[in-house]
Amino acid sequence: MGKPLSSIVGLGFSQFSREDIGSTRDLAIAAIEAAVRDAGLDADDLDGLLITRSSSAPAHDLPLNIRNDLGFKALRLLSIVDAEGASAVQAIQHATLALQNDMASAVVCVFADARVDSSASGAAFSRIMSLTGITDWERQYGLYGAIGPYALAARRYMARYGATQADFGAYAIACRKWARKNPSAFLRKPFSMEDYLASRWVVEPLRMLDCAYAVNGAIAVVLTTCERAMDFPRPPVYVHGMGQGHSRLTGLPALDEKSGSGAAGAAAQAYSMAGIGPGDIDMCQLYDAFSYLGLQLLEDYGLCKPGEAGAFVAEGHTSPGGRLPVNTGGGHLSGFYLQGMTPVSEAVIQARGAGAERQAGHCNAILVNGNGGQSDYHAALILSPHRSLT
Amino acid sequence: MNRLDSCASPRPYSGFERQFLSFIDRGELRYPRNRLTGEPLGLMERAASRTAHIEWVMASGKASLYSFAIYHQRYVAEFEPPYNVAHVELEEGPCLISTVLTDTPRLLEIGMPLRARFEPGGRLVFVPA
Repeated sequence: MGKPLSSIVGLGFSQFSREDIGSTRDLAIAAIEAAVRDAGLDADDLDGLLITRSSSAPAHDLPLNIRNDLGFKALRLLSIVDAEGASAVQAIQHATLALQNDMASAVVCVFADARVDSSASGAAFSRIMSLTGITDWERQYGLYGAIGPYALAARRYMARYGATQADFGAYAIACRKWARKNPSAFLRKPFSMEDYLASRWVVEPLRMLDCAYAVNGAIAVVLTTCERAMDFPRPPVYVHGMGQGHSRLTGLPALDEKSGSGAAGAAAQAYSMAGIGPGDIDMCQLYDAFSYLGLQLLEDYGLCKPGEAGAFVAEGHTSPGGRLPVNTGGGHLSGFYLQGMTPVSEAVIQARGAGAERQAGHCNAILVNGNGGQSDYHAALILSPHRSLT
Repeated sequence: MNRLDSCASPRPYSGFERQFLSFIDRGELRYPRNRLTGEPLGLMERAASRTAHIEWVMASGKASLYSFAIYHQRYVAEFEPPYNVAHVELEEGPCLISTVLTDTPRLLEIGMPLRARFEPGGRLVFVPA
């Protein structure tokens, strides 16, 4: 309980597109400038910059010296944060720690990605996935793309709990219902369970409609101390809790029921810091790059019992009007895939009450998740429009 | 040319990996075991393998299907879909990624018994037991 840890006072977007609209660096600059403007600041008011990017994009796409492009004064905090899909959420955590310890007074965190090419070859997303622990072992079996490990995990989940294709379909449909209300979402055409079950497999048991919709774009947020939170034009969004969890071993053990993912540790830490439990969460913004992952996260963060997320979603609880709105912008599946900044930005929009047609009736305690690897790396935030959660 | 040389994107192999792959190149599926406790070590457990006294034990070849994924989309030219990627659990405990050779992929089922086999080219695969 007590006072919040930091506040998000600026949010900025670049253009988003499936076409080539500029380099990763160009997009990052556009998002940072928009976020700084949104906070009512000038670049020289910022003294911290934390950079995140896809772990499969070249490091030189988004270097530290991007600071030279922006007109910042000498910075007090500057780093590239890299924890695969958990990076953006972790950057907000690191910014918060710096703000609390007077290592910075206003920090901008950015994620940018420009890997989608208009030929739609998907080549940038076709890397070999390492699960066994022996370098390149998987190449001889064709385990390509992030989807491979998640298809293995999804199949195991189905066998363990009796979950079905329809459970994954229900999740994808719920996200599309939210996207219908979001003009920024890329995929807004409604589909039925019948449509879902007739759609094409990518890697069975996952279909095209179970997969994130990758775009080129960037998102940035500006954070400051909670003492200064009221000095900005937009309603502040407070950070109340944060946690990380990283599984002991990477790869296969992350799919293994005996070792589990890093989620449990991240959840326990974030809830404890916020002084609440999962029962107090009334909105989730999750890193749901695959429908199966969305269900798994609802269970791993204590919002549903193990094996029950499919039924929970099918009953409509996560859909518009439900008691636990989940991924209110359409998430990764129907909105757009910009890794951890997809859930972060939607949480800020909802907490500001700026969701327009998709604004949920309640968002007092929002769980935001980022995760990466094969669910190896987890980071979580508890955000709220309120200074106190009690 | 053995597996260590033929890797498409050469990256440094650790001694641990070289050991495992040198057995594979001889057509032997071996797994690391803690010599003192008799506990089998996963192929990911590098730290344990560095500190513990390990021995490389011949696996029985008996295994079960922990999970599987069927690729319907083509990612690279060499792999014609549909094909399966299998997460296999050896009866001794360690897990690895492989594939199940079968004429009836529709009958793949989690928990089904498998047996290890080396293809003529030296690739480790599994077949229904």
